[in-house]
Amino acid sequence: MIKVEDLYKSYGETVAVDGISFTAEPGRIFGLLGPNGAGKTTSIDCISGVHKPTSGRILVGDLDIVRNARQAKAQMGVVPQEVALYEEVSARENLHFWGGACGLRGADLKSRAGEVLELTGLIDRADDAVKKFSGGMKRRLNFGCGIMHRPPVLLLDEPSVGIDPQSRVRLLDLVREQASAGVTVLYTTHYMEEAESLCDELAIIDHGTILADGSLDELRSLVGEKDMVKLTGTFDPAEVSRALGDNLPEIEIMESDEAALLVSMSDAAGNLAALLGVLQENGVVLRETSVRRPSLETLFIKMTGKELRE
Amino acid sequence: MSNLRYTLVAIRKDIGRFLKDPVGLLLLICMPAMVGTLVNLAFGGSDDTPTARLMIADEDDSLLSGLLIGAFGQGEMAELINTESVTRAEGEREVYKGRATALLVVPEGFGDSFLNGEPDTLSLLTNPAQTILPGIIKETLEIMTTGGGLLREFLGPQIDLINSESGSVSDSFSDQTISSMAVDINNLMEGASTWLFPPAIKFENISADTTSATDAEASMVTDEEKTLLWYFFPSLLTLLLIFAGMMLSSDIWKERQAGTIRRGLSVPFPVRWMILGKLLAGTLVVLTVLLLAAAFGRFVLRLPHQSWLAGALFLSLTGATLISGMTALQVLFKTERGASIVVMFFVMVMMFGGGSFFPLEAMPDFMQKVAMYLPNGWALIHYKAVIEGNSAPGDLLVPVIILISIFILSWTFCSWQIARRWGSGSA
Ligand SMILES: Nc1ncnc2c1ncn2[C@@H]1O[C@H](COP(=O)(O)OP(=O)(O)OP(=O)(O)O)[C@@H](O)[C@H]1O
Ligand SMILES: [Mg+2]
Repeated sequence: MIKVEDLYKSYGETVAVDGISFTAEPGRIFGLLGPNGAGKTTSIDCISGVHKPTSGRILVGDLDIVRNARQAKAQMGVVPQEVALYEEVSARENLHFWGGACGLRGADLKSRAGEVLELTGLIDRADDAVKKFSGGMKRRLNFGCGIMHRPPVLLLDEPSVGIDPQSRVRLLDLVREQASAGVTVLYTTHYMEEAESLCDELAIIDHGTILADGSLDELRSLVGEKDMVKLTGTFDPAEVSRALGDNLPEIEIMESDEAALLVSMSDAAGNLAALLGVLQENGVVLRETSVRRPSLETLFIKMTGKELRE
Repeated sequence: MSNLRYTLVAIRKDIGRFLKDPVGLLLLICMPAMVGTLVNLAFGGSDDTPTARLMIADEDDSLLSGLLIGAFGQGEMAELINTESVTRAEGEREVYKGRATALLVVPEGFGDSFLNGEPDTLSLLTNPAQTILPGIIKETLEIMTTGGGLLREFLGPQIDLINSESGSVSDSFSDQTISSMAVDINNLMEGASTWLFPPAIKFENISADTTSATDAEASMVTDEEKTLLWYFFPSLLTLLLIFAGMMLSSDIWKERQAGTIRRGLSVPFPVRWMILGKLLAGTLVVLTVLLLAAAFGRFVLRLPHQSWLAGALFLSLTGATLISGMTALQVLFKTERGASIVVMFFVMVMMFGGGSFFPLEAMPDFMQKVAMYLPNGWALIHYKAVIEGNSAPGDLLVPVIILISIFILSWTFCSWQIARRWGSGSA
């Protein structure tokens, strides 16, 4: 279990994490979903003991990461966002070192390394120097190094970035296996689909704060039944706001500027014509229109006013 | 107990890495061997050879050309070859008229292209009437340029880093500061060169009649046995230590860039044990190389050194402390570039000021005093006292305690810095 209470972390002037709290339960995958710079890595760093939190409390199991760093760290496997491996030596030697660094030794270390090589599909290349690996293979080994000591808590920082679809499926399966074996998994990502398909529970994070959290169903219910319509073209925001307020008051404007308009409305398929009509009457030149069904993405846009992708 | 085991795991890891990438290690061994051969060939001539008249046209007039030319003017080499500084035209005239043995032209820009790793040519115009003397000059030049090339190879990464224009944005120093520092260092070296390099330095002490009082004590080394190598060999060993310190301490940057230090901060063991493993792995490398080199000196070159084994162990400990100290220096900086400039500066100061490049005996008196306060010079003095039989290995106890203390302090300091500051993403 990971329990984060009011975690706050700043680097000088920059506030990277601004008071977040959540609990990740054993046997479940907890997702931390957010765009670049949201504070995902900083949160992971504080939990894994790489950084000291500026304030707040972090419990791993019932161990405080600041006060019982050593025991708490022994419970955790960490897979950093940047691949962190010794390139000159082989995959097996990397596993031996990081396994050793987490307290494994002797025959257990050797057999576990074999197991992990098998799991990550690297057994054929086990004794090749890592510098000869492809990016995806390095990612898989990076993951493997984190699970060597069979940790009951696993922190994964965007582990699937930059790997091909097959490897990704395999990696996500590995993560699911860990969870079903009872491991507490904390998984950060900026891929919406990944979060939706993998996580049991999710927190949406941006600018260091959690905007919404809960199970997938709870979050979906927040989204409501409304569709999102995005229009691009040439707008006069004040005029648009007045025209829609007068004619179609049930439509909610999410975002509006000279070049784009984002609105939320029920049954977009049926009501789109009315919307376009009102806009055209008011001199708007339209270029493109897109409709989005309710999803986590629309929730995200609703909460942050921006799209998730960079 | 388990911290110790983790340290062992870390030692094994780094030794494994070093063995996978042995070029650096080979250079480490080759470098002093090369310099040794160079010096021996250059200065080891006998007395009754005819004298050559070498004209030198230094059109480059840089630190490097000065160094190159200076080598001809040293010690016994000076007795063999008289050098004269001339313009290219004057020199050509002298050679064609048969009055000079050869003309060496160092072209403008030689020093720069050497530092940039670009090939450049030295031209040597020889007197067709003479055969042996031009040959000697040619030979000497070849050895020096090969030695220089090797030096370039060795310091390459540092030089490139300093030369490179592409500073990262997160530099702790601005590019301007860095370049002005580089200029400062260069100026300093240029200034120092007037008294560091010939003619200030000569091997004038190396002759049978200038034996120091201490040497006269019941030492089994007789003056006849004191060849040039006898004087220079210990210096070469300290040269090796300096290179080892520079090379092995900069490995911490490789780990930082690979993200492995950061990962090391998330494992249960405190990062200082990982760092200790790293320092001790470096120590093992130095120990191995030094034992080989010292045994080579004792049994192959037959240098009449006493307590050579104790001496080699003492120097290895000095090497360990240099690695540790230089690692502490490295982590003070935010970028590898900043660190490498300062480390390189210390390396230069130690090399030329601490008796590693020129034997202490060949340095002016005040320089010998300065050398005592540089790590390599200090170690060299203690080491020589032991191998010359002037003090017993037991007398090294206090120096050993000092070294161990500095090792521990540096190790603690750099671990603390790393734990505090190196958690953030790679530089
Ligand atoms: N060492 C540091 N010094 C100063 N600011 C930092 C440092 N590390 C991170 N930050 C800032 O903290 C904020 C959060 O960064 P963080 O790396 O946690 O984001 P992230 O969610 O992991 O982003 P990404 O998806 O790009 O990995 C950013 O504004 C970043 O600029
Ligand atoms: Mg990140």
